[in-house]
Amino acid sequence: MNDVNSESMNNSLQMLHAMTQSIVIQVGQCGNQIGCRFWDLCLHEHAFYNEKGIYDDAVSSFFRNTDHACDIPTKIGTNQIKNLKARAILVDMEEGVINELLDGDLGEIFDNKQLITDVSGSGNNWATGNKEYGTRYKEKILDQVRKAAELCDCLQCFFVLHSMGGGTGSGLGTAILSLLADEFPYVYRFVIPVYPSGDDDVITSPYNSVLATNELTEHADCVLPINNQSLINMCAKIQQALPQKKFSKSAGGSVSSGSKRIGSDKPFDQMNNIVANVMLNMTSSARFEGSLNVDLNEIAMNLVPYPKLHYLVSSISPLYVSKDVGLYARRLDQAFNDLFSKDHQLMVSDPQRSLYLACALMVRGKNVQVSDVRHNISRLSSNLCFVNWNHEGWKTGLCNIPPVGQQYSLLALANNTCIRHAFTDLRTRFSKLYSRKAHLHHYEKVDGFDRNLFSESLSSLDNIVAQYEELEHKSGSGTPQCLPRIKVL
Amino acid sequence: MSAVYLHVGQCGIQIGQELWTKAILRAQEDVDLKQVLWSGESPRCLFIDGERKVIQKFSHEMKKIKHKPSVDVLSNSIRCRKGCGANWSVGYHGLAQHTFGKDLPKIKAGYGQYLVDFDSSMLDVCMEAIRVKIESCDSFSGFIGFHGLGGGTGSGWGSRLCSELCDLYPTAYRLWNVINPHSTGESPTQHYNQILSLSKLQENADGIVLFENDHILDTLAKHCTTVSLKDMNNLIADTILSIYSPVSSLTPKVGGLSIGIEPWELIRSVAPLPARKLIQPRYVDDAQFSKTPAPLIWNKLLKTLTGRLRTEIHASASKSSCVSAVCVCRGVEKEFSPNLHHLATQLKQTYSCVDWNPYPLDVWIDEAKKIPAKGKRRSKSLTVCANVTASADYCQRVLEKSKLMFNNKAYLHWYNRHGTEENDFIAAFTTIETIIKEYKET
Repeated sequence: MNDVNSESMNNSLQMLHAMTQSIVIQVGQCGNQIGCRFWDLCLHEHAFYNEKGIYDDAVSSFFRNTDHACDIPTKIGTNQIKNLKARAILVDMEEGVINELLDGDLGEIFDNKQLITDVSGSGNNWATGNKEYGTRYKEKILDQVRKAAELCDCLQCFFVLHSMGGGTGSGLGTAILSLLADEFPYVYRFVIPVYPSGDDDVITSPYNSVLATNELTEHADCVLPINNQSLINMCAKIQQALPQKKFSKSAGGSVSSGSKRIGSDKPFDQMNNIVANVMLNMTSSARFEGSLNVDLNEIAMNLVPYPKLHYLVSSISPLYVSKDVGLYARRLDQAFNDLFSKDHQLMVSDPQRSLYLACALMVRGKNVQVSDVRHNISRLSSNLCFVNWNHEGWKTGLCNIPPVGQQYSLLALANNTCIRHAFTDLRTRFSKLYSRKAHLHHYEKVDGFDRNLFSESLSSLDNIVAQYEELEHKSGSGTPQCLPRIKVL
Repeated sequence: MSAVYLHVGQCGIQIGQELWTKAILRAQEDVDLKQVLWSGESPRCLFIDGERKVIQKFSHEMKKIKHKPSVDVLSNSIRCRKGCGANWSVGYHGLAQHTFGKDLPKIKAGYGQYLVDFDSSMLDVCMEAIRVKIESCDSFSGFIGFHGLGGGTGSGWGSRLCSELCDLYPTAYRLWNVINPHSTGESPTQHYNQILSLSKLQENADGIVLFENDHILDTLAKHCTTVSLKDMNNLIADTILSIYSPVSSLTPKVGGLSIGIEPWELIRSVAPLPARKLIQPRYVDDAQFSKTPAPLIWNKLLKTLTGRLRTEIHASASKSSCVSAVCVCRGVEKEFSPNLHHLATQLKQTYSCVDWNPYPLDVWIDEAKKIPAKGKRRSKSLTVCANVTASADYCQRVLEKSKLMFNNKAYLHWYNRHGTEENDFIAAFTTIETIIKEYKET
């Protein structure tokens, strides 16, 4: 990989600090569990590709290298990796999840100063998370973020991971997001929220989700919403397709720390792995070399034609959770087809039946060439409905390094109007509760929470749905594929 | 008559990689090429990018080549870390003010001093580096730029450099080679970037050589099933070297050393009118014709080239006509030289040249110098650079798409944020419309 020989030490000043860095902020139980899988797979990937253990630019995008005794970071270049620390901030208002993380194998890459915890939790209440804890921990969080940012040479973006249904994730997560928007206006904010499925067991999840979505619309640069139900479906699909013998074989790149059998993984691990893989693939072009680089700022700029419509539906093909656990597509063309089918989307949606505003296609693999990509794009364009002013709304990226254990991997990030169906469902569930004024008192008794926030958030959600609908209607005429989704009553 | 080569952005630098690799190999035997492209041991080129990965990879590859003269990529490159995100506006306006601080690249003058300090902006640093390069040239006459049109750094910063150099060195030629993205879409903002970039280049460059990704991919796809980006860049590099390398018909007989006027002669011949400066290059070599016997090779090359051109012209909507063209034949041997009269008639017919130009076709011949190894043949190539109305068709397509997006106000907030207002867009549309009108009146 980035093999630096001794001659170039003379030009070491120019060789240093070639990559941009990203900071991951994981909030709440869901956010921390996804984050845990992300760091595990990230370390695994870098360990696989960095044979000499040199702290080079690719590793520096998510990790810093420190001296054991003190936390002084060492410079990027030709040094051996001594002690990697993740560029992460872990926030949770209950101690259980983070403690478990620190006790596991990954504990060493986090240091105590990067953690912000409390004891009592948020009680699945957005207002508690956002208003109460948001104000209480504001200074501490900002302090940590500033320190982490100073340790970066060139900070390019923040990744914020949290769930939308709970209290800490949705509340405190969005409070942190607005802090970042104020403090670091020029650093891109990518949010990966997990929306609750229809049969979620948290009763107040619609309230939390709508209130949090309002914040995301205002302060995030790019949102990649994810739905638990689609992740469950994808894992089921993988399990079905696996040959039986895989179950007893000890997977070298095993999914969770230490366990040998797939069956004995912690419950959400496989699902969280899929999300972690999306993050890895998205940043692969920024970390590794390739013939067509797509940086994270390009994703934001190219896929967001209107400032508020920044919700990107992600899909991945072939499906895999770890090195030995995955579906192997027989042909590359088939993988491209799968990428746009509804089974491979991380949010329950059918983008093929809706309008595409723009789509990013990030390809990782040694043998995938530009002609394959162009051929597939022209083939697929005829089945997909693009908005009339953006028929060629593709952003392509090619990275030479495939993920560990796979020959190639495709990631699509689509700005598609199908997201409005998910929002409409959310709104229906919200209205059911709100019309009865159920559970509202929990929110109102929190200091700083105003009842108007509910109606504001609702109107902001309606606004986005209306904008998406308008785009669909404006370019709806003509192609037969753009059918409205059939509602099963 | 030396030129300074400027490679901007990922596309420009990747092409530069192939170009300079080939140039090093050819310069082993070709003394003329060596003294045109190098001043002593230092190549007359600069690599400029908004991120560091591409140049780093290039440098790594270049170090593996052990021939002299070599290209030391890192000391001829300017890299910052402000990526442009496929936004022309960031490339044109934002990058100029970017200051380096600690990351300052080392620009050495002949006496080994740094000429820029920590507060210098990207623009200052680039201008200083260019000045140093010019001073190292003997009889400097112009710039040759390379960048892509679809992205941010190449199209934005490349066109900004053209504007600045037009002001700073008004008597120098500016021959810009640009690469168009695939029409099926490489980036949603590519239409805006192409229009904005082309409008600036139309004002400031003397000649614009247009390479099209679609055309290159189609040409290569005829022989191979999969085409990699490296193959495409190789074809572009071959085309460029075949036009800009010294040709014996333009080398003065007295003295014998090439004066390197090929690029400027190209501008003079093919872009005679200031309103029409888009040049379309087409290249064919004998790599896949190894079975054709030597006497027939030139006819074969000509037939292949005219065949492809005719297909293109038939496929295009409007009537094609050509203002002027240059044809370069390389590898001509005394025994089997091409029939120039036949060549000229065929090309004039294919291109339907305008009647007001008495000398629409200029033919340059380069005689093969070295005797090839036993059993091998001297490689031959035929390149044609023509100023045709098909270039205006391309402008028309991109203009329509940009206007459609502009009317729907898509992506405008990203451009406004970095300094490009609606008026700039409208001005750019007007410039491109003027180009199209001029070409239609030919």
